[in-house]
Amino acid sequence: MSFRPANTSYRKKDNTETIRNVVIGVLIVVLYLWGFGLLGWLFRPVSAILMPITGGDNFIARGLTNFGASWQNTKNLVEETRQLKKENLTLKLNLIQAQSLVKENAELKKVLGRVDQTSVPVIAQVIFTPNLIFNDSLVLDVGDKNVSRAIKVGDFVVYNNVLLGQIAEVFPTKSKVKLLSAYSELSVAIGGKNIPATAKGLSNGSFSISLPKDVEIKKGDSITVPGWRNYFVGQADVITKKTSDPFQTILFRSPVNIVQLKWLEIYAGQN
Amino acid sequence: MLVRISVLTLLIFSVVSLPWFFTFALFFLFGFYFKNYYEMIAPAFIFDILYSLPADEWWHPFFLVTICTALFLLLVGEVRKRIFIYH
Repeated sequence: MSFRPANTSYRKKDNTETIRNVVIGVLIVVLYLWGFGLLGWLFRPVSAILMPITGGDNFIARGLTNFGASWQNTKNLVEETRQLKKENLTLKLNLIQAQSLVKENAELKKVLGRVDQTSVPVIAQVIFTPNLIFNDSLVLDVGDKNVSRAIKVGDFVVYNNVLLGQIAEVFPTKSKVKLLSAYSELSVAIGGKNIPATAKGLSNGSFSISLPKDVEIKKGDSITVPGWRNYFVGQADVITKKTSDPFQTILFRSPVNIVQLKWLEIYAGQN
Repeated sequence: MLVRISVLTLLIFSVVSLPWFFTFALFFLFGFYFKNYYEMIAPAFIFDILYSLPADEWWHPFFLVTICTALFLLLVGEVRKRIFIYH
């Protein structure tokens, strides 16, 4: 007489899910440890395939901005236009004065024997920007093979004399820019007295600086990067002081709207 | 099958053209909606290839979004087993 215990299952145990989880776990570890070295070269083919989708134009981000603007009250718009026209005239006059000062500065440097090596910039078009930046990076359409002066890692990326970032990776026909707000520490100088400070990038073009409370900083003080040819990066915007805190926090952001950028200038870096 | 492929195409388009928070919201939504939607790792991989930069911090690997998406899908698989609406 054979004895068969109750509730015996003769089906093989399904290990598919376990195998899949193990494979994914191994993939995660490999990507974490060696991902960039093994697969970083894929940028060229992927960007070449996907470029026709955007055509180098942030049409969706621009559309969203324009749509938002159309909801504004007409009266506010008229007042804002009047104010902007006034500001525009003041800025034009300041620009003329600044241009003559720059020219005079360059001539004086030449006389003193300091030759300006910044040279003519390379103009680049922004082809990819993760709309409303996530990684604080941009992709440009110039590399080390498709321009007269080869782009190098460390070159400065500038827009209207405002420093935006540095070239972080170079490919034959494209390059990636690391924006300044991706830096966790950036040595800056504030105001006319060039007060040294360390700015912390908060992503999306925003920065914060922490200084002792007794250091006098005014709203509108210009902030430059002395280590990088004194490029302008922003103006002090919000200054917060608390009675219980010996430090003051200064917030500022880049005056350039990254989302609306199309063309940038690349100057040779200090490499 | 066709729906999954269409959604995958939409995700790739959103990686390239739409705001990042919109893309991540779609990842979250479709990760829960479809069963074992591991195809979603492809658009996350494309996101990292296009926009990621090598960084020194240990918490910011180059393929951060890909790794987070893979972990998210593993987690969703376990959560789905325990939520009654998926039974």
